[in-house]
Amino acid sequence: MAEVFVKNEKVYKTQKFISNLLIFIFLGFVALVVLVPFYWMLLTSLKNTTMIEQVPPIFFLKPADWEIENYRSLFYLVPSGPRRGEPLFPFFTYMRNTIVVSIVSTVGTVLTTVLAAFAFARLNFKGRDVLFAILIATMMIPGEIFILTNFLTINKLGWYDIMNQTFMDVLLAMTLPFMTSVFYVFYLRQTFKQIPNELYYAAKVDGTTDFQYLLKIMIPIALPTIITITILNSMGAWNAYIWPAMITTKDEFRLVSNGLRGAFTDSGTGRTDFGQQMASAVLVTLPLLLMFFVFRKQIMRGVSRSGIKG
Amino acid sequence: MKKLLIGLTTFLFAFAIIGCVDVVTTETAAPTTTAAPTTTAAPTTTVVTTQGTTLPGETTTVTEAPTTTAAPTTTAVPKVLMDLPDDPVEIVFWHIYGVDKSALLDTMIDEFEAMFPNVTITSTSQSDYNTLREKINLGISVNQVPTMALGYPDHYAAYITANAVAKLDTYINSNVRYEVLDSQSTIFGQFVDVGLDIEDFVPGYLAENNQYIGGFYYSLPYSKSTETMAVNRMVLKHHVTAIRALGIEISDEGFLSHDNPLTFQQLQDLTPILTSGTGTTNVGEKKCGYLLNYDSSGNMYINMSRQFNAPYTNSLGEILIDNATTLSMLNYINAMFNAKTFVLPIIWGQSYGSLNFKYGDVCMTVGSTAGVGYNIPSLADTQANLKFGIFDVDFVGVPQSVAEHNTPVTLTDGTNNYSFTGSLSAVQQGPNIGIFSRATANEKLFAWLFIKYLTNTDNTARWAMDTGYLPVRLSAYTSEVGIPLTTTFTTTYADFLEIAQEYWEADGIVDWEVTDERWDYLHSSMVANVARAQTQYYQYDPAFAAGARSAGSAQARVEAGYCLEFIFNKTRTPSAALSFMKNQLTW
Repeated sequence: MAEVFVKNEKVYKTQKFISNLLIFIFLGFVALVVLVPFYWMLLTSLKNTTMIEQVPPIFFLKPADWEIENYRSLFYLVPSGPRRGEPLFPFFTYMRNTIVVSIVSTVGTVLTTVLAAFAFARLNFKGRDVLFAILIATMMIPGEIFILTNFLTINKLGWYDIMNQTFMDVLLAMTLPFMTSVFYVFYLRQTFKQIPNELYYAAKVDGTTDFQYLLKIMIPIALPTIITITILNSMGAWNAYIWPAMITTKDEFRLVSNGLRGAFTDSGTGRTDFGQQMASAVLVTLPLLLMFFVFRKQIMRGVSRSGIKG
Repeated sequence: MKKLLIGLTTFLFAFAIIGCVDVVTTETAAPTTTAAPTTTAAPTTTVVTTQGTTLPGETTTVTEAPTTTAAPTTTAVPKVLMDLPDDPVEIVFWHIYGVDKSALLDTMIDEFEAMFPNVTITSTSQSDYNTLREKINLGISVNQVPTMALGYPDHYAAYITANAVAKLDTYINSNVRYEVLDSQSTIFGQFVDVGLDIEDFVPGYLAENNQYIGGFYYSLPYSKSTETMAVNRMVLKHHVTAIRALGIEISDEGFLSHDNPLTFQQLQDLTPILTSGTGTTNVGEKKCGYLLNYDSSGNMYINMSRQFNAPYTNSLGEILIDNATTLSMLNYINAMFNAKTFVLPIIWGQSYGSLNFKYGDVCMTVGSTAGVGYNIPSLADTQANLKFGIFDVDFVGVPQSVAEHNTPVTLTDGTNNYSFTGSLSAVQQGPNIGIFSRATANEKLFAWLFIKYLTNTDNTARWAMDTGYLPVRLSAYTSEVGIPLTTTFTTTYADFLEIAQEYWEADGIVDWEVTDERWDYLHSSMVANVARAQTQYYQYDPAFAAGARSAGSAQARVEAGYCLEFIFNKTRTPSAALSFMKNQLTW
């Protein structure tokens, strides 16, 4: 009997080992798929044009062959003209714009989302469900369709003035149309709905107002969801491309995503200086990577909760 | 019931939102139409009546400013002298230049602003041509366009349809001369002519810029380039005797003629001499895998259709490809692909053939003049990949169907004959520059003066030597004004051209020091000379926006490229590729 048990345990251990091995091979492969683009970006940023073009491609590069010039040239100063004295690739300006836009847009989004979700989850008013259904229905319309209408609105509001656009105009134009998100409202409303009614009634008995209840009870309970929304929204703002390209009229208002796109393409031949472009992409990615390491747990929780990628 | 009601309302709401999009678009498109009459109101007239102060007699004439080349018009039409407006003017200039070219542009802007201190030019890169065009097209509907912008002819065709772009003829033919009265100006007390000696521009470029309805100029040429052919001189030199036996002009050192481009017949004759026949390079016998690569399949189609006199498109926007000559041309190209005379870079999984040219996979390559440097093998390349090592590169004109314009010719691939009347043709490409009609009279005036400044003899030469583009003015080729290219090297454009001429005359055996800076500019000088020889048969691609029944010229070019790639890949026969292209372009 004991022998059978030992035998079974051995079989079990072997099976476990094989299944673990397969899982790790699979995970390792997936990790490789995810990491290769990052590695390639880093590698390309350290190659000169000839190395980049080479067939078959170079997969490894000795530190002695690194083309540090790609990074150095990003910080060369413009010798003359309106941007005299500024770096050739205005990395810090683009980063500052992106960070400001991300923060403003995220704060705005969280504010509207919390209030709207509270209203739809807790408050009772006529037509609540119909209104919510209508809002949910708007999710069926692809975002690109709104570009034209949003553009016309922004122009009517005077924020797209080619001659005199200010950073405040750009900031409002880039953030205001995206300060409401039906998806986040829906997401937070579901979390709010899970909070038992008894808490609400108990709070009411204690004499708290609806707003106090929201601030003191609902928000702390739903904080993980709100953090998730914050992270997802900032990632969305960071990655935005089409709308910021449409709405900005001056170089100094650009976000990194747009700045990276055209800055290194030779307009005569259409060829891109991938070395420089990737060097600046590395610089842009670094803060995000640092953010990821710091907020790793929250981001992972957020992504797994919402079931979507940023 | 409640759910049904909710569902119904939801759908109605969703449809209403989608419906709104169209309503808004059509509403806002209207104002541009009504704005049209202001475009036609002659800007010069406005300036004359509001700013005009006619002075008797003219004392001094400027020789520096952007006006130097406008001199010939002075003799024909008496000048009307006026004070230059000095109200602050802000000009917004949209382009797509990245960090590489915007530095020189910024320098020129600085110089212009010093000449006209009341002017501020905000130049902004819009990343790429598609973004630039889309932003302007969208901006036209809300009356938010820059003062001036770069653009390809098909972009301008669309802007003109929307009545958004200003006619430049009123400025070109203007007889107004302004006196600069701002003491801060670097040209204080001098005179600035509005008119422009249009005859000084390369005729092929002009034809492209006044191809629009009415024959008016809506733009001027700015950053122009063409295609030239790079050849592996080491391989040619090895086969000099055999090449001479074919009756092809070649020097002892392997230089082909720089005045008479090779013909397709000659390329066919050269194929067995210069290629191995297997598609792979034979280093021992100094034979390449393929003879001639075309970087841009779109350009290859379009230029060869002109060389074959095969109808392609016209400025009315008609797609004319459904004809026997085009099919015959495609059959010929197919035969040349099979014979390894022609090749496209997709065979090496590349977008351009320059790398494989350096590797020795192909002996000749046709590409943009702006990409010269990519074709030169050097120590920076991984030496093991360079099958012929570091070899000398020469540049010649793009191959032609005939040696003389409009002559009948019959080509054969050994089985079939291809008879047609051949023409000389080389592509011209690169953006033009124009002004939008929404700008005020003063903005337009200074934008115009800025265009004149950017394209004046010195600046077009400076721009050409710095960027690899070509001068847009004929006078640039003979200009005596020295232009500093580096801190230690200053040259006139004529001397710049002389670099390659001297090298060619010495059959490549020159006693220049290794440190001589002429070596750095040798290849770009070669290309500039070849491009200059090709200016006489530049042909432009008619520009038109997409219509109700056919696609626009930009799409036609893309499909033309695909057509040749299908034939090259053997995924479609020439006739199937042609019908596919026709289906893609017309409906």
